[in-house]
Amino acid sequence: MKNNSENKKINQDHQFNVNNANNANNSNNANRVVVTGMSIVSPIAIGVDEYFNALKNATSGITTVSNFDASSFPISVAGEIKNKKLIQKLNEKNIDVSLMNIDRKLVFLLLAFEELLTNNQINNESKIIDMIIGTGIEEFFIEDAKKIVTKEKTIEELKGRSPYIIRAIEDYPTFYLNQKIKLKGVALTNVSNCAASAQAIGIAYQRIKHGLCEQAIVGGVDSMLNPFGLLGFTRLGALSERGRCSPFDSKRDGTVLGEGAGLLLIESYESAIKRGAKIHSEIIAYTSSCDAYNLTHPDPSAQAVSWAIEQTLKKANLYPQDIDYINAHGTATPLNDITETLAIKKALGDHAYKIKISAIKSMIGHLIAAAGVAGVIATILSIKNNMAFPTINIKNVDADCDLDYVANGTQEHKINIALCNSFGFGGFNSILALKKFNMD
Amino acid sequence: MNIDEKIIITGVGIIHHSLGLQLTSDLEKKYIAKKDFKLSPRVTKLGLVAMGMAAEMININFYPPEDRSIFICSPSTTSELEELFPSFSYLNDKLDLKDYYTRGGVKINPLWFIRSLSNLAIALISINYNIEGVSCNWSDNAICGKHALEEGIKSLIRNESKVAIVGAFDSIISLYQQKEKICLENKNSEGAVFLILEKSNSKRPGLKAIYDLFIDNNLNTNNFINEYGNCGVATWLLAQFHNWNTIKNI
Repeated sequence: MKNNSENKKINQDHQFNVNNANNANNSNNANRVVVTGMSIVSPIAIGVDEYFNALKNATSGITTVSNFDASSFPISVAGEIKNKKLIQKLNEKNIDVSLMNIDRKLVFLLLAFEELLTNNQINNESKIIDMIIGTGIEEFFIEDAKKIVTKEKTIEELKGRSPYIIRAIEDYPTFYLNQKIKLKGVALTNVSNCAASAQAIGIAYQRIKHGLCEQAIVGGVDSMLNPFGLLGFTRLGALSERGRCSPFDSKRDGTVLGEGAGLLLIESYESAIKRGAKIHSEIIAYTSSCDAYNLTHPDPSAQAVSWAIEQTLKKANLYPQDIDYINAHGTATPLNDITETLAIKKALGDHAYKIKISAIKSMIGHLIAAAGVAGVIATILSIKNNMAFPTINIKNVDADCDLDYVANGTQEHKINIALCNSFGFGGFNSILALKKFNMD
Repeated sequence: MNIDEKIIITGVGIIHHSLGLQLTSDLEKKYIAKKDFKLSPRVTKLGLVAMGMAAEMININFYPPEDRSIFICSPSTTSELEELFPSFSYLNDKLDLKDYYTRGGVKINPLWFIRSLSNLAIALISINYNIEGVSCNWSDNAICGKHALEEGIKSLIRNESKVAIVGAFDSIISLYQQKEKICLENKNSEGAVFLILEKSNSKRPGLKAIYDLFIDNNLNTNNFINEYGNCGVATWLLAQFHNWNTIKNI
């Protein structure tokens, strides 16, 4: 056991190290964080190039669920990754298809990781690399649950037993991947639901910026496309009964579930330059906030979201007029879209009317914990290509949603700096600011 | 941040049998709002009670809502499996998804899904204590609490917040998950610990450090588990607290 003086020294050393990291990062390029790798597994594409083309062409990935029989469910459409294509891709990458029987999310993550490796080498021998993954709740296996109830008659009999209704707990994908590649840095699982992968990216960005690691594999994975998942969202009343995700439209009536995974390789500027990596974009600020309002409804005053946007601008030394584009959370629930619009207007003032805002959930559905990273990748592609992707399914814009949502068709638009919004259940908000990469 | 400034622990709430503190109905009544009671599974109640205990040690309202931050370690799915049982009551042997929703699924309480979410506790706490600042919710292995504590410290050092709440809670007493493998080898346990961190130069009236804050990077959670049982994602923070508490009482 350490004595008191030793303990005080540890406390001071810890603070000194953090201070040193802060001071060391105050000059030139020392605190720059860049994105050097991207991969995506989504309902509209597997692979970044395919994703870009699908977004640009306003492709909808919303179809009738076919991986299980959802015909009796009131809502049976979703942004589903079809098993045929998935299995083909898994085979191409030599990923064990049988892992799908443990956790569908796991194979999405492994596939995204293999995609990430296509254009990047992960050198975990010489670098401290973190892995931070946002995941959603576990897959509940309905067949297993039924087996338990019919065979094990009483609750008492169940106590202390493991019926394996959940075959893989939440951090299993992170754990599995880390076991496979054995990174030296931290391996963390963020469970802030719909904001999880955006928070994962934000935390990793901060860790690199403050010198705690050199590189990070970050992103998220989720699939609620199983009977209990679809049932849960349906019973909550969060899904569109029309089966159409129409953000900012006057007739929007809810979101549509999706599934997928996305990963980024992010690193310090020095690390990227040293290894001659291709730099896709730069992350320049991150802020999170809590609504502190309601479990399922956003705060109608939009105070916490607008505060987070303002803080993000402040951290990056930006003015509202510096923002060219926003990748919106845009779930198409009646309350979210009004609140998000209000937050943007409160934070950016009149400039809000001059920027382009896209809601890609209209095309891919709501990827829940992976929604943030799917949005960040779309934002980076927008910045790189000076292109605002469309919000599809807009027929008549809601009178209270009076900004430019890039309705129904891609628009060319010069983008230097963009924001990516992610909001989660319980009122958790994440704002990331990204910038076109410039050597200066 | 000035090198002379320190991060101090000014509030602690803990439920753990090593201190003779267990979740009781009296504690639940005292610290859990009626509106949250029905919604919260046992493990969430552990967190809410520990947070309530910590919060009553300081006047959190001294700080503006946006200066309050929160960093939590919560376990995997927290909902009670029993809630799904009614949806299968019509079944004999064969499960046919074709009629499951209309005959069984409609019997599932919509709140079941909310109760299943890992970030239920952080959501309720942020609402109840008006915490609008930065946040993060981890769900990892036993060491999870170390990351939450580090994030809390960093948020204060970077001036992102003026008061940071750090907490971890878990219960693996009646476990339905794969963690069972861990439980078979170790004693099952449960616990919750919430800390309130502030800067030593805060102007809050009554500011007082109750524990010296340090992070023991070599903390051996196995020793703690062997002695007190496995507390899942709360293990590291409980072991670290145990360390602080032991030192304080020397």
